[in-house]
Amino acid sequence: MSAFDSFTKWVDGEKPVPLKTEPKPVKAKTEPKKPAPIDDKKRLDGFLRLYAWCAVVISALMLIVLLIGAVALPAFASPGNPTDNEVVRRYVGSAEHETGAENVIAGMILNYRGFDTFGESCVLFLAVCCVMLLLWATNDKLRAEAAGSGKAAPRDAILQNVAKLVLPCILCFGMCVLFNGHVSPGGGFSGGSILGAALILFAVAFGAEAVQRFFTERVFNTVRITGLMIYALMFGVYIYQGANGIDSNLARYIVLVIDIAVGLVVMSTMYGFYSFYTKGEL
Amino acid sequence: MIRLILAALFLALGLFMFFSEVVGFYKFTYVMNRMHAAALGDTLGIGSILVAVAILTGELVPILKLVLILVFMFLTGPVTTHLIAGAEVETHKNAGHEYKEVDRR
Amino acid sequence: MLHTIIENRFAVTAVILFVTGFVNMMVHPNLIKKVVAFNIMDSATFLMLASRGMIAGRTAAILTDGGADVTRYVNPIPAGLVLTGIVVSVSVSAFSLALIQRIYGAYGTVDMRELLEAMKKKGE
Repeated sequence: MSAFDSFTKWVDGEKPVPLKTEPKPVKAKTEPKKPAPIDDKKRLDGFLRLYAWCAVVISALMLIVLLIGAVALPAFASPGNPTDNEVVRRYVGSAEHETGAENVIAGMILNYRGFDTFGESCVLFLAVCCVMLLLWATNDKLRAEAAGSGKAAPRDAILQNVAKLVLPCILCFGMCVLFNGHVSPGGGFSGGSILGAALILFAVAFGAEAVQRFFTERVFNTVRITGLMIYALMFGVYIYQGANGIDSNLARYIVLVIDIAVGLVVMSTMYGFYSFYTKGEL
Repeated sequence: MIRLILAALFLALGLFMFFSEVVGFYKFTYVMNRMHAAALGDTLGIGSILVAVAILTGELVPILKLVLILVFMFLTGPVTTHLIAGAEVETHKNAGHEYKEVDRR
Repeated sequence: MLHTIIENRFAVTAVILFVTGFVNMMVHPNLIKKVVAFNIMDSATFLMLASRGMIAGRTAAILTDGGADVTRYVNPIPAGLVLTGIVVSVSVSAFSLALIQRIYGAYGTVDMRELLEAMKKKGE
């Protein structure tokens, strides 16, 4: 009975025949060999070397396959590209009428693909929750360190003066990008990240205590949860009202409000990342 | 034609600056030297490339925007370098021997 | 061959970047460098998407004429995909960096090799 026969029998659903019918010769049990520590290290070395070689070979194969694919694509910026299809005509042709947003990308991601962007906001929310969970366990030690070193470290005069000069500009620019997201390049994600960067600069220049005056943990949680809730509420109302049949002026306000909600979520997330990585709390 | 040559000169200067920045950043081993190399591209490199672009554009509104970018780069780049240097001074193992204590307040 | 490579220069660059990131992510022993390599792979993907969305002679999909002439604008979908990708990349990077910080707290190292040895020692 060969291995192939037994395999075909197993495939046919018959009773599997064991490969080796004769019983194994019983080995005299020797005491288990002690693995020498040097041997272990050598094995790890060998494994890592083999792993590196395999990785390089796989990557070379991948490079070749992907390069063949890349070269076979239609030429860059030529009108024959697969992105030049009827979707453009649908989106560009009726986006302003249906969503009220001149920035078709903002209109698209907040109206037509609103659920997708809601998922994105939830991803950010979950990411900051996970960071909080992971870094809070080490919090006591970090907090003691921060309390010990934070007061002793002098704030930098050069940084403070430049921050006084630059911060208003950053805030104005962030607001501009955030509130004009539906008529010009920008929107919730970019505006929110600019505002978050301004908050981080403020915290670096004037100390986290200065931010604590207006952006405590309570405010942080309130802002990001409120942002998500506003998004869910507005989009729910929008869907309930019949989505595309809605008046274009109303749709424009819905896009604007959803944009601001996304901006709030992104801003608090950015500052949350910074704060949790530097001192383990908000 | 003169405009083109001038712009090309500035562009070449900027590219040279970026090249030396990258070479220095990878070649040096000590933080202060690397920081110095990296600071070159942040100010002179970007500055000359923006000047070249401004010469090539020759319109008022884009030039004003470029000037804004230049101002902010010149404000923030040196401050970043200064902060990196400060962090190095604070965290260096035998900082007391190599750096003088300065009150940075 | 060279002609097609020059025609598809952005796609070729994206492929090279992607494979660079992939090799570094597999081979580099430092966990933080692995995260950096992951971000390089992300950037390669964004470059690929953005370059596919470009069509000569058309502008970004921000309407200045109310969408009367649809042949003036490029497809908005690649831009939206890049936006989605950036958000997910930021979240994943933050999460993995937090995990690395916990690993460093537990084992005192971020080197893959030392980590394997330390884990083995802890297991015994």
